[in-house]
Amino acid sequence: MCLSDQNQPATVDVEFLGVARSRMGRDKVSVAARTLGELLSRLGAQSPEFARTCLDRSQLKPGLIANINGREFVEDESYVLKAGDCVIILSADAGG
Amino acid sequence: MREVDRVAQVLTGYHGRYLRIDLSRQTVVEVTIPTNVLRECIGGTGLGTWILLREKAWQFEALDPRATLAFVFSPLVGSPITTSAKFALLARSPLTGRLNDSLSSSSFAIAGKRTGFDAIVVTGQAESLSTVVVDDGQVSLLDAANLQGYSAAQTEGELKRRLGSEFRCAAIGRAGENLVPFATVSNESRHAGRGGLGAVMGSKNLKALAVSGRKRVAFHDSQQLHQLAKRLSEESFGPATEKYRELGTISNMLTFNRLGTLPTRNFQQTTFEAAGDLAGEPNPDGSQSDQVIRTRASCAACTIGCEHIFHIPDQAAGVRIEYENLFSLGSLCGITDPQVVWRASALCDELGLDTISAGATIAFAMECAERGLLDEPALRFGNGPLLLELLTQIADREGLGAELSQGSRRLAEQIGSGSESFAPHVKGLEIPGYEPRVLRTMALGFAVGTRGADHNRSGAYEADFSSRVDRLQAGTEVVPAAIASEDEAVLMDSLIMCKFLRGVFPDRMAGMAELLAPVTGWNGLPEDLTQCGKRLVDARKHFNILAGWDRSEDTLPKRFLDELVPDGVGQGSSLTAGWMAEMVQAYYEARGWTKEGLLNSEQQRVLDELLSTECPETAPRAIPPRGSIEPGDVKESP
Repeated sequence: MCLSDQNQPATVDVEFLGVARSRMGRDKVSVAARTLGELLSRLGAQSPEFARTCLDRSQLKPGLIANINGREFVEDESYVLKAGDCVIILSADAGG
Repeated sequence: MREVDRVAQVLTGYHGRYLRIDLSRQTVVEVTIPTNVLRECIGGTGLGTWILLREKAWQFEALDPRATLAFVFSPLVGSPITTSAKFALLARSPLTGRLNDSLSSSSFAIAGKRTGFDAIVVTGQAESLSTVVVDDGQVSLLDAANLQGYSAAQTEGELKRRLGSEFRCAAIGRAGENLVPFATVSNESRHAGRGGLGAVMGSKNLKALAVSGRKRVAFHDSQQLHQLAKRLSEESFGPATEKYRELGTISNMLTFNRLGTLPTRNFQQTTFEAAGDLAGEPNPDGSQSDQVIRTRASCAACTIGCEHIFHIPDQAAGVRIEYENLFSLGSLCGITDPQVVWRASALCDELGLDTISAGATIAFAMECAERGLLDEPALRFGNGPLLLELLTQIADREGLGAELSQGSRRLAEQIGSGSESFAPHVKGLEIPGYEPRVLRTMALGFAVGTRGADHNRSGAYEADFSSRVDRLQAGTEVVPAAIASEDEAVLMDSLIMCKFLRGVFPDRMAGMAELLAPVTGWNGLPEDLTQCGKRLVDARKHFNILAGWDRSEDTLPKRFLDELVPDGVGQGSSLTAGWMAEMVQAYYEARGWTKEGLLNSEQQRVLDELLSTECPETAPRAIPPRGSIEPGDVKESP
């Protein structure tokens, strides 16, 4: 069993949907991060385009949201990630 | 000076009157709309609800010649505010028997308001297929017998040739003429899609309403209005509308599939194996498959440009594809080939069929056939050629299509054998592309919706797709979110402005009030608007009560209350009848309604007062004939 440890970064998969996918230029990456905020900062470091268009420091810009494992929507950048989590970055507005 | 003119003189943003056209008597009357009514009901859906109540439209079945149909404009239409070129169409629905408002966009709304009226109301039945022409306030009747069988787009083209290019037309296709209860009304390739108001036009022998005019309204503070419009246009290019501009609503397809909320094979599954093919999204590097050629378009007076037009190889015109078409004619029917879905969407547009109700009714029939409840060996999920054939049969009410043209509720009543439990509707209106078992706020929104299951009159899914609500486990916390969503939606549909602008406003009530103030000059609007939204929801409910609503209608089909979700993220999730009943009861209580879901005495008093406001009318005047479209005028075959 893999226990979460706030001091050790967890390796998580990140999936991109919609606008976030075209900004990142990829469908999926793996990133080691302790928290959602840290994960977003690392994504920004990997892709200046993603940083410029999708991030406001270590938070997602309005219009985007993060989801954990397809279940829980998360906005708090201090949210602690667990090894094996899948973080989905997607458009916040589902309408249409 | 006539009373109708005196009221109009002191108003800004409005003409202060509506036109009532009686096709049976061939007369027209102008009716004053008092200022207090405009302030309480605003326009669009709100004003239309007041008009239907005032005209006692609940008394007649939807397709009775005496039924009332209202084309309603709004204070913002004709202003420089982006996305404001919209109108509402209201009547009792032939599909649900309840109040139905459908919205459409573009130049028809602008031209309609320039006729000099805030609404054009049609009652009665013309002797033969006709077009009503409202030209700068003057009404005439044009024989349209030669347009029988024409699509709305063809009709629009012929009428412009006959009347002049300045005219804008809302028209019906074959489905409307044949009284299919989910027929649409179309203008400029936009559609008032839901609830079958095309059939209401058909029942009146009304092929089209053609409008033109030069009567502009004054604005209270034009300078402030233009500044606001400029700011809003700039903001509409920002991140809040990025999804709609770049990918369109079809990007929901992959998102919903990933989140297990994509209705598939008549709501038997929540993920679809061909979602990626149907979505047709560009590759992550921005390149697009050779099979997909798409362009963008927008409504008149819109800076967002959400329309994504897909080009079908052997057809001259492209087709606008939205998520709701992709879901209803794709995953819901098990169709994996995107080109079949595009062709089916184009066919629905041409025939004048609501894609959601058409697709959902066919999907329901497919499940019935697979379960042996319908003896139709070819009717199976995934049969694309049959899907296309059935759409035409539905519009013409022929063959199996004659049965399907009733919609899923009536079809289930006919088939019986327990099929009612998986007929995908609420109050007769087919459920849009949001799986309610894994979107609990939306589930409540669907159940209590006055129009039936609806994602436009309730955007409750917003709460489900946020950190505010646990979409798989939530309890009564869904109630305030569902109510706030309905209140907001009825206001946006009354101002009228596009819901894709929602994300632009940090505070939506304040944002809407800010737009309305320089148009009307009304003060104290944010507080007014909050109460106004609640009153308008009360008014809509009041109409339904008068039309025969009862408590048992506010629920979901049994499938969603006792079958577990078999796949996807929400696998094993379900709602229960007990949960549903508890949420509906809590919703009534939070609305201040009685335990039985009726308005309380104070709510009733406020509405009665609003409906008893005196509205002076002009004397009836005769509608002159305008001739006919001669065979020589017609350039295209239907």
